[in-house]
Amino acid sequence: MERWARRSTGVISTMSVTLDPPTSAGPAPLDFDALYRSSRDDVYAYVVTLLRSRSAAEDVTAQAFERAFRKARSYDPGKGGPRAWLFGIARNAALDELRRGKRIATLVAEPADAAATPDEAAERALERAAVRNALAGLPPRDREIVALKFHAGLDNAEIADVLGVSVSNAGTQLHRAMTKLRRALDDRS
Amino acid sequence: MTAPDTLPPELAELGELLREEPPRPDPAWARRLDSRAAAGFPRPPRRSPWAILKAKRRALIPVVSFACVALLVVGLPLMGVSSDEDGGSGGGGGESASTAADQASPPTSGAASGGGDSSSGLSQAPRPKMAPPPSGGSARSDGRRTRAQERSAALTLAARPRRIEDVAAGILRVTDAAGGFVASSSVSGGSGSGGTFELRIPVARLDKAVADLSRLAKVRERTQSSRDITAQTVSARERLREARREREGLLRALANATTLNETEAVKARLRDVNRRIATARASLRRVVNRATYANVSVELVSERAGVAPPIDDGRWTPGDALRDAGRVLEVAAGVALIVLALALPIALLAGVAAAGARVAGRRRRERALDMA
Repeated sequence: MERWARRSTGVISTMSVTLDPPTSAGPAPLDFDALYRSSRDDVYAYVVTLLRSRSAAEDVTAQAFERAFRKARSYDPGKGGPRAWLFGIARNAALDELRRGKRIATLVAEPADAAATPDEAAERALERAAVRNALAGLPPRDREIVALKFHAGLDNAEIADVLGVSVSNAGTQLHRAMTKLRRALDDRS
Repeated sequence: MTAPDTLPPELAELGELLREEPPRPDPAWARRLDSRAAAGFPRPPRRSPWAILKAKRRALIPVVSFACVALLVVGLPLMGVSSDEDGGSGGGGGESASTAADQASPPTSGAASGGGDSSSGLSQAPRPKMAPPPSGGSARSDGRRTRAQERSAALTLAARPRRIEDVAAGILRVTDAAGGFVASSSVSGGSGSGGTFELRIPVARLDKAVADLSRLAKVRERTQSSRDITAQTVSARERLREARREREGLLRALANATTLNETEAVKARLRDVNRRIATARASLRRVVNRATYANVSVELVSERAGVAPPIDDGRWTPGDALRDAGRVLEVAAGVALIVLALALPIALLAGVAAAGARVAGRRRRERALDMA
């Protein structure tokens, strides 16, 4: 819940409909409105990191939310949390986009505006830009898991749900991807 | 044991840098998406199915043609089978009925029109085709005033096992009411329940008695026959008359006898003639009884015993309707079973194919990730 509240800036309200009526017993129904508000930017960040194309990421993100809206009634809380479910849908949409290969990934990290910031902040901004560039150079699988962890804010269990692997496997993959990122950064500097 | 979410400090620091500034969407795009989400992701207006069909009618022609041919190929044999079967056991009466009727025909063929029993049953099965009781020629065809006929009838009645005893009691009741008697009978219960009855019914009431018996249960078979016994009757009567004349002559001879030997000889002949008279009288009585009482054999069988279906006279009764309805349900169940037998493997194959397609789709996606 904490994560839900911190993301997706600028979303004032979408729809006021809760898709499933609340039940006295059983799992909580899917509140699509809340899910959309908390996840819009996270999904976009994940998809754009994976696809490296802003236009493709916008289309895929919109497509993912639309699919999730249409399939909301098929959401089963027993199979994982709503964010894991949503990111699973987004992942499928993104992979379909990759498979179609229409838009070649061209995005690299935005350059940091170092001149406009004080020294310390400028240095931090340069570091962030270097990390984003290094991330953009990683293989898609590594980019994906890093994006799920640090852009989407999923924990290892949710990442495991999205990727369809065990939690320990997700942790191992994440560790490996971060090590590669570290090496890539070191190689660049 | 699951891996902890925490990373070593040097990697966690990288994570923090990534968290600080994730990629942000374009605000204009975000607003557009928000409004679409608020509207419930409206779909573009769809063309009506009829318009789509009209547009694709050329493509649909082969599909519709194939469906029609498939319907004909599958439907015609089914219809053929059901109609054949209906003809065999349904309302028409058909083959088995006529066979039964053929079998029921007595060996002596008569020229008479359909038998005299015109009484109709209330609840029993359709009336069996009656074998016409042979007349044995017209009453004066051989110059005699009256002809003696021995008549007989045989009935096979079918009743449910629990009704066998009631029907058996009914047979005795009808026999009593007709003024007849039971020559022999045997009734058995249990799984193979049934019975046989040999009845003697006055000929004058035979038709009514047979009709009453037919009402007791379903008639599976009914035959009637008659045999001319005029010659035997006349012969027995003539023998008696002759013996009586002879005795009268002997009595006169006895009255005129003068010697003891003559008297003894006449008496001996009288004893012989008296024996012959007794024999002739008994013979005549038997023949007269045969002409007076008809032999009626009733076989009572359990309804489950599959002898032959009830004989039909072509009328469509509520019983026929019930049987037809049952038959329709039977055929429908058969068709449903065939469809199920076809659909089940197809559904299984479709399920396997769907699962395979799903796995293949997932692999294709994963491959796309590796190849990107």
